[in-house]
Amino acid sequence: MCDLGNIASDKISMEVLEAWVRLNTGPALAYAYSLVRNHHTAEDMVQDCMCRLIEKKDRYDLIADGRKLLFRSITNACINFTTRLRLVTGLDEDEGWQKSLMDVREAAPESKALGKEMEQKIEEGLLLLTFEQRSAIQLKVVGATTEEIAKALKITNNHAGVLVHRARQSLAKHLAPVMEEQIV
Amino acid sequence: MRPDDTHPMDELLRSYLDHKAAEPRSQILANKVLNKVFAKDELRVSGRAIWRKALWFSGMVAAVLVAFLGGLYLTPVHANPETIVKNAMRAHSILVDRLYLVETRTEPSNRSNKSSWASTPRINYLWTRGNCFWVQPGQHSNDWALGRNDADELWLALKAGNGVGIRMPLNEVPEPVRLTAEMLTMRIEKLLEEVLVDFNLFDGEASAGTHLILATPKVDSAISSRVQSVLLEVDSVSKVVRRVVVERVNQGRPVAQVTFKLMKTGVQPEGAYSLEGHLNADSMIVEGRENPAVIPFFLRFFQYREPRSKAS
Repeated sequence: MCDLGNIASDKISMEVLEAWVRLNTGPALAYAYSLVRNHHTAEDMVQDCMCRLIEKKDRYDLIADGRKLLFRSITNACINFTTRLRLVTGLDEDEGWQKSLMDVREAAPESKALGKEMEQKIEEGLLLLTFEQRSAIQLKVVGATTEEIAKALKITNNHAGVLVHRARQSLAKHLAPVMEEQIV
Repeated sequence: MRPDDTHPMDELLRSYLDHKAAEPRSQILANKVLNKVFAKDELRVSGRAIWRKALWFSGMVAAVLVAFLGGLYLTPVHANPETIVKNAMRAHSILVDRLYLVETRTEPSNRSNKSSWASTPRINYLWTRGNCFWVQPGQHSNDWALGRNDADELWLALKAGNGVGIRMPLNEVPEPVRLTAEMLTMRIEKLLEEVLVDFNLFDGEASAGTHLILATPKVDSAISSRVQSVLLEVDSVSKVVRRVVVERVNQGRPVAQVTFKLMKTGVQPEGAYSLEGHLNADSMIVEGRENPAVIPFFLRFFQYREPRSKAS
């Protein structure tokens, strides 16, 4: 449910709120999809998390911290979702990664534009990471500290640091051929 | 782990996530979220109208009693100009695309206005996103576009025929061209920063829903040789700058009055701020670094464009 509470007398205007929603929906959707690998589930999660965040927007600085909070909220929702999935189906969500990888390759036809190629490679690179690595690196780039990542993923600070480090290494390795082409 | 542990991969991934904002799927979902947000708000407003009236009435009674019994003298809260500008900076810190209508009235008596741009008031449309901008003519034609990309390069796209584009680093652009480009465009975040640091701020006459601030450069500031005053009209609710009027001077003489009026915010297609986004695949692109002929080309475009078009 998306009860907006006191939106009319808000600290930020409707125009700013609209801009915030428009600028953060795409990144949040990409993040959620990278975790659950299902477009419909990802869209539902993003919509739900955004509405809940907007509902409580007077308690936060939405402009400064909104994206970080949104990503953290999506992380929780995704952890709940994948835990439920495991309980119901007995499957590990990572088992579906190969199909998702195929989906990415089919969805993005070969393009001469390097930007598109890079985007596709990043998507592939993310899918090659573990759930925790994907969460950790993306939380990191939206401004979360190691402590905040650890809290979101319910792990130790050291473990969070290691996850970010390994995710970077893995992505760098996967993207190296494209980046070399770009330099050439 | 170090406190500032940035990594090249982080920047790449951040750009990737930001890039996702412009995708149609994302915008469709954003529309869904916004519809839900605004619909719920309307329902809430209508459903609670009676309670709100009752609360408002009892609140008013309480306020009158407090004022009467306590001898309080209630005055409206009045934000000072610095606070208004700081709030505006915050509102503009979100990287959204904004469309401004730009009206330039050059001062014909000033001998520095030799270019064709000085002859009549000009209307242009300016799209901005952070430090990037692009301008298209608002009158008569749509045959060119001028912009600045995220690599700090100034570009010009001429769309006639197959199209020709020229591009060069902003710091290598000749001074008259740079000044004209600066006059036609506005980087609101930078302007607000300058206004806070280098200007004295005065309250103007505010109309309903807006704050008016007049800013005049401090005597010892470098900008005083270029700008005589800046008038800012700031929306009191959204904190967004609705209108800016810049009085430009050169060596103490008026050069132009440029008015920027906010038309709308929106999402521009990817590539709108790059030269390639305004040309087709067959267009020729000349890089200023490689071809010195670009400089006179830029100069000709700004200074002799109109006489040439009349002749043709």
